[in-house]
Amino acid sequence: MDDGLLQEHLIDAHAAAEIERLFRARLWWAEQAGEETRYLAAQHSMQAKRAAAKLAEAAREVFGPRALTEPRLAALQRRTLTGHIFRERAAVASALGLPEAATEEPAQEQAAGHTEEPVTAAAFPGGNDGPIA
Amino acid sequence: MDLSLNEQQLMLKTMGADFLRQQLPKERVREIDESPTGFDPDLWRAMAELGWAGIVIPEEYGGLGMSFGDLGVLYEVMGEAACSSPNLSSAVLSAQAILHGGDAAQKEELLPAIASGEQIFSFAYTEPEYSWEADGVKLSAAKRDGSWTLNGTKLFVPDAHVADRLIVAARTSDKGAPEEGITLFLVEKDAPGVSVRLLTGWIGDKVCEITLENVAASAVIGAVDEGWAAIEHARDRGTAVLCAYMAGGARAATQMALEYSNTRIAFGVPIGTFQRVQDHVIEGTTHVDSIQWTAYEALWKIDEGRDDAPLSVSMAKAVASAGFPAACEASHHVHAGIGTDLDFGLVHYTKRARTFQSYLGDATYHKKRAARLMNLGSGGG
Repeated sequence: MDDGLLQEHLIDAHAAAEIERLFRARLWWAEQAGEETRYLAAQHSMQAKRAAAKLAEAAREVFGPRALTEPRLAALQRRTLTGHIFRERAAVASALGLPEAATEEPAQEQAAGHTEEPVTAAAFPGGNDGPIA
Repeated sequence: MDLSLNEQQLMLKTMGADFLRQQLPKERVREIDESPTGFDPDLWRAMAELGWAGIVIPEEYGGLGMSFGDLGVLYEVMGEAACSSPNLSSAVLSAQAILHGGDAAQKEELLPAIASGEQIFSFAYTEPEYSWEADGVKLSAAKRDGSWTLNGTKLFVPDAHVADRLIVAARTSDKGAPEEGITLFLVEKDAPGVSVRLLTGWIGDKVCEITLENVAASAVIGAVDEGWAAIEHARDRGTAVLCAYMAGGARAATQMALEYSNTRIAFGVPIGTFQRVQDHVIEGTTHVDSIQWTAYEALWKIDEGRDDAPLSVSMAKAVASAGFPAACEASHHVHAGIGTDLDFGLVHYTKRARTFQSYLGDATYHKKRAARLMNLGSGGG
């Protein structure tokens, strides 16, 4: 714990989790107020995935190979592999008023079996199960 | 806790934004930045007339007695306008150091002049070995014939060139922990032995080198050797509102990127059509939201007097110190060449992002401090 680099990994993971918590709280309050939540839900989902990735990275640095064998940590490592954020980015871009992106990715996602339902808070319940189990 | 703005804060935000839109168009920001002092006395007076120098100073000392959350709203608006002023140095850092460390007579004497904007104070902490740790304070103070004499250099001090008085952190004892031997002194800027040199370079707000040669301090703020608590108190509050300023700056830079993405045409389409351009805008937006909400939580915890406020302040500054420059960089990627045109205005934010990245502690410092506050060990390895 006295290792400065390890500390930095832990603090980065903690900061990412704190931001996720604040985004989640903002989303919850907006939902309670009946506000439009498409942007907030997408931002929160992206942040949840980033926080999970940061935590997984910190776990690898702190635990070494045990991060891949201890069941809960291994589950975290696996979950971060599916953390793509194409749909969230598209939702944020749309909410910001950016034109529709000239990209094949939505079609690729569709071909890969992803659904086309609108992005809502319910679509991202804590991102990849949230950053911390 | 719902950190969104209440009715009074929304009014404050609207009022502040309207005022700065009128008083500080981007052309004026550039003029002030390029002026010899980087300071607009007329703007400062106008801000003071609105009470901005006394927002968090208690009413009994001539201030408005409002919350740090309220002040954060105003700082966010100032950040959006790239507003340069000695407000942070004088009305927050110096005023809070006096409020926390000063005795009743000092508060009554000094705070009304700060709250009215009549006098400007500068908070002189860092030295040539730039550090925000307690052991970074080496400037010496010695007691001779009943009065304190200061010798040494303070470096990268904002607003000292336009200040009337200085609050100087000095080392009065080498015994014990570094935090234990620091004392805050009130120094008149025109006292014999004080020289202030304005530093040049690519900076957002002007900063100075202060040299003190056998300078007689006017007063000790608080008790000798016990200045650290007042410094921490002032610095946490200053850092939290600075984070709100950085959120505003990051938002303005990102908003410029968004507008440019929708209006700049390349290959027959708005550049916002390109996914890589979108990624830059979205990255900036995420930084803005991250800085804003971590800052507002820190401000809320300060207002609530919570014990974990310092941790939230350090988290917020670590996020802001990384996020504000990154948001500006993302905006520059969207703008390409036009972004470097000084008349265009984006550079105003970039300069401030890189200046405030370090001021009151950079991300590395605040991560270390957060680790300490979380009892994660010394981080010395």
